[in-house]
Parts: sequence; C-alpha cells; structure tokens
Amino acid sequence: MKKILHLAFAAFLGASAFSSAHAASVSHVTQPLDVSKKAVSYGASFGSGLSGGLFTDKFSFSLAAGSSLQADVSSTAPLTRGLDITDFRLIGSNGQVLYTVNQVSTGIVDLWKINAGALSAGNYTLEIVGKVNSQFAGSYSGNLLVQTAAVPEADTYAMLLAGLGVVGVVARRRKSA
Amino acid sequence: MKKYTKFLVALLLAGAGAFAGAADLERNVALNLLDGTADFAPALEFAAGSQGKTFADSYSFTMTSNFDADSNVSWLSLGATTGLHLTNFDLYKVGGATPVLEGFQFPQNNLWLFSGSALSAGNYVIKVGGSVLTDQAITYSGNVVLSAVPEADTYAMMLAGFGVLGLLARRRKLGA
Repeated sequence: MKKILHLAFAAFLGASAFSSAHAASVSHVTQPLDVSKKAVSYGASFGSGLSGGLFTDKFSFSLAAGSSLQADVSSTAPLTRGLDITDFRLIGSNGQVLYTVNQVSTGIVDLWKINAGALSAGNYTLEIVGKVNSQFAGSYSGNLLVQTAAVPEADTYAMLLAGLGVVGVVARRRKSA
Repeated sequence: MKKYTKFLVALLLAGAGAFAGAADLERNVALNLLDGTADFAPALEFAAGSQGKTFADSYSFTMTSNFDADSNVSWLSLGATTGLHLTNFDLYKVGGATPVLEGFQFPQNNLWLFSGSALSAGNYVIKVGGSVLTDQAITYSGNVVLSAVPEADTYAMMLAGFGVLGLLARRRKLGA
C-alpha cells in the first residue's frame, strides 16, 4: 500500500513538473503579412492542454512608402476559455516599440487597438502578447489596414512645372504683342 | 419576334427573382479547427471600390459531441465611416431556418459576438452578413472556441467509479 502511495506521489510530481515545464512558451513562429492590398486579416490558434502557456506572436510586414496604419486584435471569452491578451504593440525595424495601447475591453471579449500615423517606409512587426487561460483550445484574430500618406508623386511635380511654363509663355506672348 | 421578346423579359424577371436577396459577395469556407478553435476571415478582403456591396459569408464546422460556443468578429473603422456595416453574425444548425445563437454588437465597438452552452452535436455554420461602407480596402476577422461538454454517460461512469471505490474501502475496513 505504501509503495502504491509512493508511486502515486512520484507520478503526481512528474505530472506537475511536466505541466510547469509546458507552461513556458507556446509562441508561434513569425508570420509575414502581405499589406500590398492595404487590408489584411491575421490570427492564430492554440490547441488544448496549454493552460498557463505564455506567448509573444509576431506578424511582420514592410511598408513601401510613408503610411499610417490601424490594427486590432480580439479573443472571445478570455477569462473562461479563450486567451488573455496582455499587450499589443508595433515594433520598428530596430526593435524599438513604436506604439502600444491599453486594451479597449476585457471580460466577455478581449479587444486591443493600435492607431499609428506618420510611419516611414520600412519593416515593422506587430506583437501580440498573452496567456492561455484554460485547458481549452483558444484563438485570437485581428485586422491590419494600411493607408499610404498622400505624398505628391514625381509626375505631379512635373505637371506643375509644365503648367507654370505654359503660364510663363502666355504672359510673354501677351507682353510682346 | 414579339413573342420572343416577351419570353426573354419573362426569363430575365425570373432570373432576377431567383437572385433577389443574394449578396454581391458570398463565401463558403469550412473552418480549419484545432482542438475546437479557429480564427477565420474572408479569403479575399474587400478590395478598394467595393463600397455599397453586400456580403454573406458562411463558415461551416461539425461537432461530434455536445459543446459550448463562443465567437466574435471585429473590423476597423476607416475615414469617416465605420468601414463595414454588419447586419448579422449568427450560428445556424445546417438545415435550420432560425439561428441557434444570435450574435449582438459589443457596445460602441466594431465587434459582434455570440456565446451559448450545451448545443447538440451536428453540422453548423457561422454566418456573417453586411455591407461595405468605405471606398477603400477593408476586411474583418473572427475567432471561435467550441469546447466539448462531458456527456451524461461520462458523469455516470464517474459516479460508478466512486461507487466501486466506496465498496473497496468498506470491504477493506471490514476485513481489517
């Protein structure tokens, strides 16, 4: 009987050691996002049995021109079965945090938003940080919208110059007439 | 010739009738579930210039046991509009005319959700419908958790197990 108890205890210890080792990191590998169409959805799922697992998921993208962007991320039922999102931030190519926000809501749904203006062309990463809150599987989803800043193109300037030239010629002709 | 024209007009009218109520953009996608969870989005976003178009998307899945369901969809406002106008976000059992779970808007946010428990096993579909308000490219995304609830017979088995344990303890006590 004692032996059985010992065995049971050892098994329990083994199980708890396993589950605490499991609780370390459950992050996904970095996913690239194609922002060429200006609007893109993203998301990720975590299988069951990862309770307590922590994650920092990264979605990378590059901006071809100066832009502003908006992004959101949400997860249903964060307290009972979903994921608890604890941070949502935009990282620049040098690793510095450019924008981070407080969450919009928590409780029945976890929702976070970023509004970032005046970003120069370059590489960026969206980071979603959180924790798996239950033995159930869970997922989050989000959207990213990119708006290119209205910078005049080279041909716009060319047209302006041409227009000025025409005005100059007309003025000159009128004067000489 | 006149007869022909009449026939054509009738055909056109019939066609219009058949398509009345159909959305401009319809997508039917099977959810790619991982242990009962998935994130989902329209495979193609609404491209710039989709303003005024209506959409009706379906995301289907099958559950083999009773389950609880929690889901939400969200999108971002764009310019002066809320980007998209959602009219429905519901869970239907395949073949059912009315939703099993009706989604509602999370106050003051571009987010709808539904939540329900003890739904019966079967084929289901999440339906997302609405229209595009912005003339720029936009999309939405959602996530769902479908968690199996233990069946009545699982509880019965647990009770039976307790019974056996009790009997053993009693026998041991008597034997000692």
